[in-house]
Amino acid sequence: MPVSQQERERRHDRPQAGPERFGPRRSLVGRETETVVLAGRLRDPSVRLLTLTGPAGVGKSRLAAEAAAGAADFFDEVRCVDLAREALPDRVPDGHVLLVLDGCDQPDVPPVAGIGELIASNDHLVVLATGQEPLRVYGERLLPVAPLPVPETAAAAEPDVQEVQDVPSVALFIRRARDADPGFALTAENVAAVAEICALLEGLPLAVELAAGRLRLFPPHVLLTRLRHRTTILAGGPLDAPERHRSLTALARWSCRQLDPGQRAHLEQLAVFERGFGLAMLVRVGAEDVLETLIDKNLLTVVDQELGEPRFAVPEPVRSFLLTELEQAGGTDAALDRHASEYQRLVTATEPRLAGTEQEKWLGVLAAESGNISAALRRLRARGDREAVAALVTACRQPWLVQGRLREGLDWCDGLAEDGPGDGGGTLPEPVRARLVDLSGTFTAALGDPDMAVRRHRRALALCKRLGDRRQGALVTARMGRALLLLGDPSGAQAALGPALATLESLGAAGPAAEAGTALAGALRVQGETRKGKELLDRALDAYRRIRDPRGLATALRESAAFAEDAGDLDAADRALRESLRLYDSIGERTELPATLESFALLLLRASPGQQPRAVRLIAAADALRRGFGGKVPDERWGVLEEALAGLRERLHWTGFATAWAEGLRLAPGAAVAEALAAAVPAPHAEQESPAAQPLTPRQVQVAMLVSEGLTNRQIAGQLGISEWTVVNHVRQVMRRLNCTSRVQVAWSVGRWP
Amino acid sequence: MAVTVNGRTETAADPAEQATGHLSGLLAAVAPPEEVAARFRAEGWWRDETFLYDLYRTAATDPGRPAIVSQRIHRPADRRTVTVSYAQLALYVDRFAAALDRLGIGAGDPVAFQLPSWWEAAALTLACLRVGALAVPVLPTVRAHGLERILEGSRARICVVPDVWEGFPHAQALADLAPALPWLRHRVVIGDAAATGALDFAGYFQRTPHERGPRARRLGLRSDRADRISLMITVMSLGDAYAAALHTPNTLYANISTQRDPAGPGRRPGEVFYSALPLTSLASLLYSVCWPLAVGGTGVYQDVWDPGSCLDLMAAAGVNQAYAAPVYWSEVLAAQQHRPRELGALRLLLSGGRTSTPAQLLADLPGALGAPVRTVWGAPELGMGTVTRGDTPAERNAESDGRPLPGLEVSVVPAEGVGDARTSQLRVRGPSVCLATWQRGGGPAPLITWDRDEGWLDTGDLAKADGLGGVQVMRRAGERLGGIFLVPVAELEERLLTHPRVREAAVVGYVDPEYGEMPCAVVVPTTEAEPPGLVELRDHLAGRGVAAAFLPTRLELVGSLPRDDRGELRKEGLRSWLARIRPGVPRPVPVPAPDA
Repeated sequence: MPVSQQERERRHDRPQAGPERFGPRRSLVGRETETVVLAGRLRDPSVRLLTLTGPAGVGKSRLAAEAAAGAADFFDEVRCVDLAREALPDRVPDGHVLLVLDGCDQPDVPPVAGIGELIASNDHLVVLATGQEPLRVYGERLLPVAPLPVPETAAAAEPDVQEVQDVPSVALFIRRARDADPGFALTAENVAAVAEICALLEGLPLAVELAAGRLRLFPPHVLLTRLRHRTTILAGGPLDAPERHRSLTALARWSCRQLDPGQRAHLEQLAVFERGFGLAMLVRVGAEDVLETLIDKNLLTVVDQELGEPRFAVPEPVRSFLLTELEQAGGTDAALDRHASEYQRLVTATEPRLAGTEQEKWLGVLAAESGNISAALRRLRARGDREAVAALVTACRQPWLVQGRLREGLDWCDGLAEDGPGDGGGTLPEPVRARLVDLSGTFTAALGDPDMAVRRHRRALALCKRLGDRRQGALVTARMGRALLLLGDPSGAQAALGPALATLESLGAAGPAAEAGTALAGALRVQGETRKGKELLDRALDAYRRIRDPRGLATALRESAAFAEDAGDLDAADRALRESLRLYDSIGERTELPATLESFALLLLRASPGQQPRAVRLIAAADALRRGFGGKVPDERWGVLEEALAGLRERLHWTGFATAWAEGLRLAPGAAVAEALAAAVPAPHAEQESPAAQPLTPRQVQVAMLVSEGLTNRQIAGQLGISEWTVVNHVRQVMRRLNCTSRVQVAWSVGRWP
Repeated sequence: MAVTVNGRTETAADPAEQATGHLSGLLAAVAPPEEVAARFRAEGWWRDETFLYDLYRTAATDPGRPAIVSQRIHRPADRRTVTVSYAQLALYVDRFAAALDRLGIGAGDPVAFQLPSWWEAAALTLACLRVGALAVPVLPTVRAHGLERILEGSRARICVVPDVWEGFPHAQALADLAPALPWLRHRVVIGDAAATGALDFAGYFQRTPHERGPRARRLGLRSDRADRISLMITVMSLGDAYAAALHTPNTLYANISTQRDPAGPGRRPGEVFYSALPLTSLASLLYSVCWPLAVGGTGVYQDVWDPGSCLDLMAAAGVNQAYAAPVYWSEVLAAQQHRPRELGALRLLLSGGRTSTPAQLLADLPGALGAPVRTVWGAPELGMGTVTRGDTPAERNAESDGRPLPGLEVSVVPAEGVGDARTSQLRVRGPSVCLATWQRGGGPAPLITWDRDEGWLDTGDLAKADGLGGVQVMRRAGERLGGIFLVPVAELEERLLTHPRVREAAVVGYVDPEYGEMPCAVVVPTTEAEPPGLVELRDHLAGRGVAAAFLPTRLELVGSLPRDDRGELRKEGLRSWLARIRPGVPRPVPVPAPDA
């Protein structure tokens, strides 16, 4: 039935539900795809009933209104019914009619039968419904509406304004913030807080709008602090909006209103879980039966669907609301205890499996559950159960090292060590304290502070000696040796590692022995005892392969690459580093990955001179990764990297370098590994024949001159203002390039230098 | 670390950097003057959407509708035709885009792909648009030397190739080039990727559901992409040189939005389009990818040219309109005359592009295929330029290439020293003209169309007014051999004739797989028993002062040169003849004169 343009306008000239009832319509933020898809679905002749489903406050009504306006040309007539204010019409006009039924989830509306009748009454009627869950009418088509995408907050230490402002949830925040405060702008100062606010609110448009409105009261960082506790503090929506849209508490209460007491109890238990818990946990707390109902009602969301097993979260603000309710009902403690004990059980059960063939799988589970494990730890500490905390922390050693949760780990160790008796928990037994101090040393070393690490390990060693625990003593000694090596004291390292290795081997501790052997091999290599070091390293490699420990093997392979590179066998170095990268990638390693990426980049510069941008990207990625977990580059490596980067800056020019650097910073760990592995394998004869043919760098000439003057490494270091370690490295390079075996020969060679 | 970089610093490139061809930073800001863009929008030639909007809209309305029907000749007979529905294409575009994103490809990063006419190439083009990357399609015939130049010049971060295609080991060639291509981050291979240590396309792009990953949802549809440069079309030329045209979704869309003649290509909803050209050419990307999307229709293509299977495919897929160069149509005509197929759905044939269509072919095609023929003139800089209306004697006699599309301004004002009194440079301006061109080997930096000459762009073709409000294209840029380093054809021909054993001579360009377009001497010997040799002729020319770069690199001996009824050399015929003969294969007679 044709309708005149005028008529069409008149019919549309009715108040729209939603927050923007006057003034020109503003386009929706971040809903381009949904708008296009919805417009397309309404044009599908087979669609008679289309339901927009999604959590309350996600913007279903606005989207429906937008679609209705956009579909005006396609339909003879468009009618919008807000079921909160009006009843379902008994009949609809004839013709090609679009009937928008907003709010089919009203408490007292049983619309299903009515809608079915309406559809049956007009063969050309199309119904667009909105509701928290499907209507379950035969022939219904669904279009789920998800919250807006949020910026990544974990990955980048310093979020970039340009990048963050285009993320839809932030764009919406900015728009609404300007409504409340015309002077608002996203700047380097507030971008991190705004990004985190949007992430905390999980991109739910209504929550983002309410938060932005609060900017007239608080600056973003204050608002963030308040929201971190509970998002349900947000209120102050427009008075003419429906009650449930005026505060997040009201919104969440409304969302949960249809739950029966059993479902509600399950959901309250799940609310104490952090985002991303697995199906196994859901089953363990007995919530499996209500799983589908809760997902259907959008009270439980599936997150990170890409990775094999689904993971879940109770969305905000429902979670905050339920936690508040739980607290008021006095049920919090029980729920938290249940949560904590489940995670204690998980970590304890997993620990023995982290050493063997299932390492990859279980590290993955623990990484996904890491937020919840931390929550369990906090609960145990609040309860004053320090031994339980200590047990859990020591069990988290390996997973935290892999995940790069080093600062967090260090804080737990130090916190436990500091809490004296009198805070209700009592003193921890000495063996436990020894382990914690040792663990804190490991975390410190991984963070790039070997000096402090050595001191911590010494303290742990003293405790062990008193306890007479040989095995633990050897373990600690070995770790101290490793830290000494990082500190640039290879002979000290050798002195510690040698005996430790012997003890560990005699005790049959294959894994720890291989770890000590790898470190000792490194110490020997640095001191020029290549043959002996290589033997040790090969033994460690064999052991790791035998016990199938990917993480240990990856570390040993990196060391073996260093041996190969020193021997001028670039192919072997390349192979070893590639395998190391693959292994690290398979277990999701963070802590050790940067160093391997850097080694690979430096090797690449030697073996494939045409791959400079790739080397820059890898070094940048390593830098970003390390900053992500708060680590710093050990000094010995810094000198080498600095020199390589200076060369790269010069060769690539400023723009080229900056471009590649920016590309590298964007790389996620997996992508960084892929970036490295994509480098062409160097041609077998690339450069091998002539390390001697390479000219010395200016710095190396300087070092060579000083060597020929008879200065010791320490003196040279003092004179040039660089670390002794760096001098050792330079001298090794000089000797190799000049084909010398002793410092005297260097003096001769330098004499011929022009 | 001292270096902090955000996306903006790239534009601060110093001139030395620009000279090395750093495109992405420069291209981010390229736009026509605001009032021009506003006018194009007001006319409806440009829009605030991209082809992705079309894709998702149709995928929502009719998910099962075929978006692509692609024939793969090397597959078993019953699985030769691959149909990709709109829902599948939308999903693959999401997936490929998220895969690119995960590899670190962001807005402005060039992504090259040298693929046969497979649906993957279409999906990749769209995925590039989704992440804001610059798609750099490369013709399958380009060989290592040319590919290296393109990858080096564009600084492509990723290059996707088949393992082996038509006997050429693309994956190996790319692997060999890779160490010397500093900016190439990933080699991706369709087929056996492991052999060359490349990323496996099937495993990484097709089978990993990247679209469900945590970052994928952030890749929203963005209407501002409609005006961002997203496609780089390269045209190989002599030696190392090549030219590139840089298009936005809107310059491509202007080819379609301006089609107001319903009897012409038009914009009929749901039509099925066939193109015989490689999918990685601008003509095919426009005609069999963009156009079908814009009208909610289907694009049809085949990966190996064969006139018989082309006809079978057109019949099976219900093709409504088809485009091919004349040389393809003459083969189709012969195949159809040999064994007629029922082509009931076919309503329009388009012929032309870079070459003109012989009058005889124009006359014979409609009867044999049951649909009228329109000839078109086009160029990489603008897509389709002119189209005939199919009803004037001049058009039937191949004396007119038709009228420009609405909105496209065409100038044939004679310029000093170019052409004769009646022909002149063919210059264009309008919504479909690319926003920048770039001459690798000719000029250092991209030339921004709207920054120079008030938006006029010289296509390199020569034309004259046809007296009917349209134009007749007299000589295509390709005829000026070598495009950039102009080979002095007339001079060469003249000097060849001074050789005692040469009776007639013509110099025509051919595309060498390794080195791009090179000059070929086509010679009629004075005595058939004693023809001149190539080395001999080169020495002869060099002795008469011809520069080494211009010496012919190929010699073909013929009994006579094809000429039209006015006695003028039919170089177009010669060139397509050259393109179709292979070394060591008996030569047919060059395209005969119409009366032969």
